[in-house]
Amino acid sequence: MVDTLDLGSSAVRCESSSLSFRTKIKNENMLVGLFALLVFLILGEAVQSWTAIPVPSSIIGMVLLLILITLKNKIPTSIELAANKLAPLLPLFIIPISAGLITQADIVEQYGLKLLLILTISLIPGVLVTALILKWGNK
Amino acid sequence: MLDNFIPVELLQLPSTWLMVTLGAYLLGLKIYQQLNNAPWLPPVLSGFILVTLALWITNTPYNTYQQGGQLLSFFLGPVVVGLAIPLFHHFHNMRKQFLRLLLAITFGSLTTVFVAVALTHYWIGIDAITVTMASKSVTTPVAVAISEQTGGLPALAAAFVMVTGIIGAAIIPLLLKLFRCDSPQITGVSLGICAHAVGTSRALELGQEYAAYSAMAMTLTAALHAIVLPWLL
Repeated sequence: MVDTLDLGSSAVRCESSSLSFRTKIKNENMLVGLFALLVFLILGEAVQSWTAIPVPSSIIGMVLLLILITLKNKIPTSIELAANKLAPLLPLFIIPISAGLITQADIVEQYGLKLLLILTISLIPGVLVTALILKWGNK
Repeated sequence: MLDNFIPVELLQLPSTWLMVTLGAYLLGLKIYQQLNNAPWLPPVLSGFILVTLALWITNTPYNTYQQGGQLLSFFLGPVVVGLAIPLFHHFHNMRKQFLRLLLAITFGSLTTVFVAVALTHYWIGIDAITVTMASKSVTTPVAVAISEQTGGLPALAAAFVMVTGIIGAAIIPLLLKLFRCDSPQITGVSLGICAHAVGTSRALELGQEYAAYSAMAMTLTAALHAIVLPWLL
């Protein structure tokens, strides 16, 4: 599997080829990258069910991928391509989840103002602690 | 209301709701660009409002909507796995001052979460909300994953993150100016910890260095909280 991830480097070798051919390679590479991300997602799922760790499976997948990248000390081109394509679309992927708020309308109605206050107040100590540690470290 | 005019079968189709969501996002993106990237109306918020409005007008249950919507939210999984890439970059770029940054990020982010959870516990006292509040300081895809894992409410988690992001991006730079400790590092890291993606785009307006620190703090906080919080809840 590790070998397939390296397919990305072939795109670099195709410098001299025609534009349409390069685009085709790029699209194929993106799919290889997406495939790899899915493999790590499923690996995370598997590790989670074997070990019963309460950490979300996607995070376990992320850690596994991070370990692989750190060991190779290089990011496979195909994975980077896929991740860079997916990341800007994040708001689109979040909308369906946030629309679920419609089923929690009573919570929002009843506690909305309190929750807003809690979210605002809790920022202040967090920011101050961060600033203090960074300032103290600078001296 | 409108459900008298639209054939009911259409409102049951997953592809209808896929279309509505994509349309809402594109419209939200358009509005955002028209408003010169106004931080108080990111596409995710306007898109959310438009979709919720569509569900409300057509009287469609969320479960029906989600048959189409889940085709999009599924991609949150691969996106979270892909966070390994920025994380690797950040580890690499910040290794000289890594320990200090890690300490600041760990204690800063856990402080804001602890205060929020304690306040929720004493003021509201509903466990599902308290658990959900714990994931308020991480970027949305991770917050959703954490709240699914810990028995919170994913939709509420997404809302908390969105609201915190908007408030944080507005008040954090001012707050730090007030305490005379604004610097690219301190402001950037604070924005990343407390205001995640919205904060990072605010940091980008302040400067590249701010944005680099913010993006790093955001990714590190997300990874840290996702690994630590589920054990505590």
